[in-house]
Amino acid sequence: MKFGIDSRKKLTGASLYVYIFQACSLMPLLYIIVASGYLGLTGKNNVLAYLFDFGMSAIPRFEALGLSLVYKKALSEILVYFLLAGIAFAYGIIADKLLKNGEKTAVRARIVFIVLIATDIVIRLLPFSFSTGFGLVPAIVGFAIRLVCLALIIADLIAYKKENEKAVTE
Amino acid sequence: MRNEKLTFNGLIMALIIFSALAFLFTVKLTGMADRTAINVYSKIDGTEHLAIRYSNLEPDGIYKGSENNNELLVEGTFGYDWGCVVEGDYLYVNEYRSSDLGVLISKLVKINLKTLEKQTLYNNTVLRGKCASGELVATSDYLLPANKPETNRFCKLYNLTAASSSSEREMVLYINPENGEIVFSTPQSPGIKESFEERYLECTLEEVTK
Repeated sequence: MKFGIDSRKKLTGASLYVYIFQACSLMPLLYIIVASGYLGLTGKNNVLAYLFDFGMSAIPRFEALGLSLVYKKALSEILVYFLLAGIAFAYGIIADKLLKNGEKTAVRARIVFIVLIATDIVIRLLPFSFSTGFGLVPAIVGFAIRLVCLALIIADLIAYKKENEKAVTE
Repeated sequence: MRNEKLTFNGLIMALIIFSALAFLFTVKLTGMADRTAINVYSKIDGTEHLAIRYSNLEPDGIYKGSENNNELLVEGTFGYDWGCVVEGDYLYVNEYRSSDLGVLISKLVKINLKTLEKQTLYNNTVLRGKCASGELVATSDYLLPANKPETNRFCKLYNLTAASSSSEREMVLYINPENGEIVFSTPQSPGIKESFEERYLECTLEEVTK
């Protein structure tokens, strides 16, 4: 994979991050949709249940907390399902537009991503109980995923800076 | 004909549409998440001709009359099993709300038996009964045992905005039955479910506060 900021490139670190974000958001959906047809699933630990834990631990903490609040108010797993899918969809569309909308916008979008992910990582390190709400292992995996995403986007910016410096010297 | 790639966003859009159809068939049309009709008729001690029942056939609520000939007074899924106290004209009882997929949440309500006015006293609270000195005893921030918070992901999600485990936040509340106000609450302590009756219901408020 080649890092850098070029709207013509098919896959940069930032676009890979968007895919990771979307994939993590989709993981809990499997559990919810299967539970809607087979309620016995909710009382058992199985692969889908662990996917739910990992997915919920990998999405931004503020999103998870927001979903929890919505769930508390509406008591609807179906609403949570569509919100999760909707956020993943909207995030993909918006990120796609920003990343392919010229170099300046793409750089700004990456800086915004870095700030958001860094804030999220800091929140995960604070000793709040919701940081490990789905268990310690999913919390660690969630933390690692955010860290990888942060590294991917920083690699983009470093590659972009190097390319610029190379162009100036030439 | 346009030759467009199916992107991940398109895939998510398709997933949203197909899952909307799936939920329509499983949850809405076939009612897979609905509870089984059991029709429980329970007489409320200290009152006449009042019954609480759980049913899919008729609205849940408090009825006046007999099993076969009755009149709905107050609608709502009330729980007689965990604690129900009649004090003068007021009935204190748990009211249950169920999520789409069956997670039950309880709140403590006060019903005026004369005017049939229902008032919510405390959310996420389960009334457990009356203590030896007459105060109502309830548990706050309580998830019903059927929800199995240890294994049920929806309960984990429900509790995410607070502590990691609801049992860490649970408090035993002593409520004045005349006005519904809390007169004493125990400090947050895990494991208060154990020997609840002995520790809280069979004692007087004075003994508990010592």
